[in-house]
Amino acid sequence: MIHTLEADGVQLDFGLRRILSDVYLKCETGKISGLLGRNGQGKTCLMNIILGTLNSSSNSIRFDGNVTHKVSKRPDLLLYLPQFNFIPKELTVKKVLDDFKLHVADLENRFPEFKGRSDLKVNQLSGGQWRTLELYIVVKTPSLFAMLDEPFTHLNPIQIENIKQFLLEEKANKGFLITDHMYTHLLDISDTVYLLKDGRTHLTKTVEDLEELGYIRIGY
Amino acid sequence: MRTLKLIARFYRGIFLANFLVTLSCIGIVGYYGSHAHKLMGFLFWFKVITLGMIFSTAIYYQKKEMYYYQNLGVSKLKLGITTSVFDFLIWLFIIIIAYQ
Repeated sequence: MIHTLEADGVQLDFGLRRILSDVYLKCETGKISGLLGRNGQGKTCLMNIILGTLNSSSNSIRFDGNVTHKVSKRPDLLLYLPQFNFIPKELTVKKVLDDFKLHVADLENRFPEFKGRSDLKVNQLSGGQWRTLELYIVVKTPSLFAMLDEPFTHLNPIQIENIKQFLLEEKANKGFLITDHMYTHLLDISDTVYLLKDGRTHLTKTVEDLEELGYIRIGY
Repeated sequence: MRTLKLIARFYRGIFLANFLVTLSCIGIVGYYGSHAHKLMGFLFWFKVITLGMIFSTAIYYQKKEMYYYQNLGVSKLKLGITTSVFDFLIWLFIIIIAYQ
């Protein structure tokens, strides 16, 4: 079954400064939606508004057409990967997987670098492995959607390619909303790309669109 | 069951601080002996305020880890209410025993 997550009518002000004013986003099961934008344009704020952890003047967050508030209390609808490490560092890999009802063997099959590491605490893993584990639990735990904020941070190029492949495999099971500054990787895997600029979302397709909207400068 | 396990894990992190407060209350009750009942109002509010302060400090220093609990369906509110009520009941139980 195809599920949809839509966000629109989002208005966010910090004092006199308007951060978000004209936003429309749509995610669907089986698709990856990319969200690009310069620093300070409100990408993370938008994700927090969708999650319900940041209040905005107005918003309409809809799952399958139904307005839903406080999505953060519904991990069956939406899981969130923040841009920083969020797994408590004293937990072992095995304990983390156990909390999310996932199996060590499945992780080791998909990411062989974890073989024999399930008894290690997460702070004994490399930065890339720690991030990979976080991505794995957010992507593999059953939910309709997952929002990934800078998923490629801390990953080396090989790990990035592996994660891209993993996301493409897993998008059949859920819809993804991903934001990252590594726009080439995002363009590679996204079905739809939105650029957040001056509080508005712009639907983009190509690198040229991104250049036209001032997000990148080709040739520099 | 999983929720209880997560709440217990969070509580372990704040247990010592809360228990030290409870111990100090027992010390006060022991010191004042049969007159300790006059201080019950003070001890009650001392416990309630320190519970709030300890919980706030814990979530401030574990702000990032809160997303872990959130992704498992355990909100800050749920953590706060369950651990505070549980710890308060322990305090009440120990205070009653100490007073007797």
